Amino acid sequence: MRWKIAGALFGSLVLWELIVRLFVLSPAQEVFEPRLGYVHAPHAPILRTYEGYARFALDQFGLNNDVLPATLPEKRVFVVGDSFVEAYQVMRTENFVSRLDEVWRDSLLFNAGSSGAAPDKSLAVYELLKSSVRPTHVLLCVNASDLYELSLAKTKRNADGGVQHLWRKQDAPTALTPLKLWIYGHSSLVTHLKWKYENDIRAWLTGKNGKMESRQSHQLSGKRLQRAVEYWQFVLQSFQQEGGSLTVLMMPEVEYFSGQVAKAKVRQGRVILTDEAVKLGIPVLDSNSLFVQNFQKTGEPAIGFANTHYGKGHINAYGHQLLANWLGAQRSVILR
Amino acid sequence: MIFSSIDFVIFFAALLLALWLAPKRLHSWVLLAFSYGFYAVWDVRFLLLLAFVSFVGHGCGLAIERNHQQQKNKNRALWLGIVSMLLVLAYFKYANFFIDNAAVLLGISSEHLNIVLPVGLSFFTFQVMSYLVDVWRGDIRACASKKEFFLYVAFFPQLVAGPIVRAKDFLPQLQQHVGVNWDYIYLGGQIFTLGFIQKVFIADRLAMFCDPVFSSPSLYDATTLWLGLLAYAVQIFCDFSGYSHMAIGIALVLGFKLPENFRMPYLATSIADFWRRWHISLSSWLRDYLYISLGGSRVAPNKVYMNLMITMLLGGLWHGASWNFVLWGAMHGVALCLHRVWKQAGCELPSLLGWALTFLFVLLTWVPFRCADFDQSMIYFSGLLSGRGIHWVMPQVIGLLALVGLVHGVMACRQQQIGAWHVLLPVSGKEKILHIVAWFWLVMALLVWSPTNSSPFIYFQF
Repeated sequence: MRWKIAGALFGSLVLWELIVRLFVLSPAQEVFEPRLGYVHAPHAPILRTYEGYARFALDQFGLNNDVLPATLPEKRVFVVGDSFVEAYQVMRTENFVSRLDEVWRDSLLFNAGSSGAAPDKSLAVYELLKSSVRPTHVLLCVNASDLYELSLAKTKRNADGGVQHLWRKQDAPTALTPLKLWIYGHSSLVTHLKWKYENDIRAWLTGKNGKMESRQSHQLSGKRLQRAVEYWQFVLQSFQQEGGSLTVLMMPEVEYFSGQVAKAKVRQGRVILTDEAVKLGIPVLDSNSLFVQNFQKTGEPAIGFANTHYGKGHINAYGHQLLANWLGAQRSVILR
Repeated sequence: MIFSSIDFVIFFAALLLALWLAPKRLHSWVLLAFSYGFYAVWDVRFLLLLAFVSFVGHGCGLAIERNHQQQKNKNRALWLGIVSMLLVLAYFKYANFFIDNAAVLLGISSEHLNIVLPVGLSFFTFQVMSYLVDVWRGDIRACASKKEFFLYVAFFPQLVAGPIVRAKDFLPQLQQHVGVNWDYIYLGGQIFTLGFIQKVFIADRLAMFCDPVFSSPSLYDATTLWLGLLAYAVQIFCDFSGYSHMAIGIALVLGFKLPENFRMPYLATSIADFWRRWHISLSSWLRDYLYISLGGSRVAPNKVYMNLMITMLLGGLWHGASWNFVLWGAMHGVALCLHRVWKQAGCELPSLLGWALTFLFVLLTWVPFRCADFDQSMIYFSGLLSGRGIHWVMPQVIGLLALVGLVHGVMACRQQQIGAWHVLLPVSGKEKILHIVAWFWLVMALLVWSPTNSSPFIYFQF
């Protein structure tokens, strides 16, 4: 009897693994990269259904692109930023980078977005991939909270006190044992349960709610503000020194309410990031008003999903199309 | 502390341990202490109120019985108890409502009193009132033991959101209490799980859709509003029925039987049938202690309709101090009157048509029940007819509604009812494997698909 029960339960577990793998989430196939920490493994399959729906395989760098061809076109735009660029909420063909790539036939649009990437990490991603992609142009996508995120970066300074290098404390390469890496990489069920309950169990055990702490105010002042501005200048200058033309894209931070009222957040970070880029002569494209005005005109929310809530969260397929159309009209700025 | 939280699991484990360690004669004390502890977690200040309500109920009950030969004194004791309960309710629940409306009538400005509504107030005051009336009518004897009466009022599984338990059902169980045993744990555990699934797996998931739709109805198109309304109908049923099942299950684990509160209400074929199936402990309370006290149906026809309207208006107001609830009660009152007229004319509807009309009507009455105020209810109603805006159809909501619809459909075809006592019984042999696997699938489904944060039960606010 015991063996029968054990067999039935094991069979059920296998079926649940299959259900989660088919309908909920792909396993987390990750590898350790010294500058970036744990990142997606090359060619890893992605299925995300928490917010929107996405299913595709990553490229040879573990990013949301088709595999990079051996011969590259003359113009290569390196689009880098956080999860808004990564776009794991929509199918690949629907995100704004792919849409632009489709329209600008003479150029390659390379999606280097990775979840949670502040500008210092975007710089690290660029430095890591520049020899492979050989970008001629960079579209650096940022949002207001990036100023706060920058203030958390670590720095190595020159003899004259200037910033030589920005870095973030990563998990040790051994943070995940080979066994854990194998389990997460092969079991959607374990990955799903870990993502879902890890924070709650930790909060319950320690009394500290990580989610709540991360939602603290992003207002900076004093030395911390100075430091964040200095780091932002360093990131911009580093991109400029690479020789390619740099454009900053402020991502939308809009929420939609009833009666076609859209609220664009005006935050300290948005103003300062824009001002500092303009001071260095870098063009800044701000998509906020685009998202507000379009909603007022059409009533169609460009943010949020049917399986979460329209009006909040990441950019949906309609929003990506809107953004791509708008950026398409800015071609002369981005490909200058 | 809600039943679907880790805190409650710890609390309940501690209670079971205490009951296991304590001699049987101390079980009532242990239950009373834990019940007061449970209430103190909400707000320790209101323990005094709970004790006061119990004290008055106990004293008045004894006074009614002592004066059973002297009608005048007996009546005085009854009214003292009833008025005390009504005053407590009026102050904590309705004071600001009265002030607001008086100010509107007089055309003056008003300021709100800073009053916190004690959780479960409407439930435990109604229990005390039913006890006093039962003693006054001679249906039961007054409870001599303070400890037992205090436990009757404060028994934690039903303290904050019912079911409203009658003293004649509960007090005898204290005297014949068998304690905790494995059969009750097994059966109670299953009933609790049924409630847990309703709450966490269905109600909480539907809330993610209903909350934004009801908070901004003008934003969405008619299809979304209809879907939101349907989802809310299922949400409130699964939320409250889930809570009732959890309460019944917990009580059974502790060795007490609580009454059923729901009998597949959305299968009702008339509005009167609906009220025999929905929130049974409240509807039967209103029938026995308000409608019958007003004369019930043994008075002139016009007076019967008035009694029905008064009962339903007060039933609506019981849910909260808002004109929305009055409107909800009025809609049900009118429907009950119309149903009575129809029935007395000897007319009969085919049961399928009767079901469809009843369901549609009940569905529409949830609009004022759920909307924040009267204006929003009107926006919602007009949106149902001609709403233009976002078309939001959440696939998970459709799936859950289909699942609940399927369960109802199967039950309707088999003419069965899912009630607290219609659950699996202990099994042996080959069926055991099937049961274990079924439970395993249930736990996995909860782990994989349940939302991580459980919201409070809707009926806690009443």
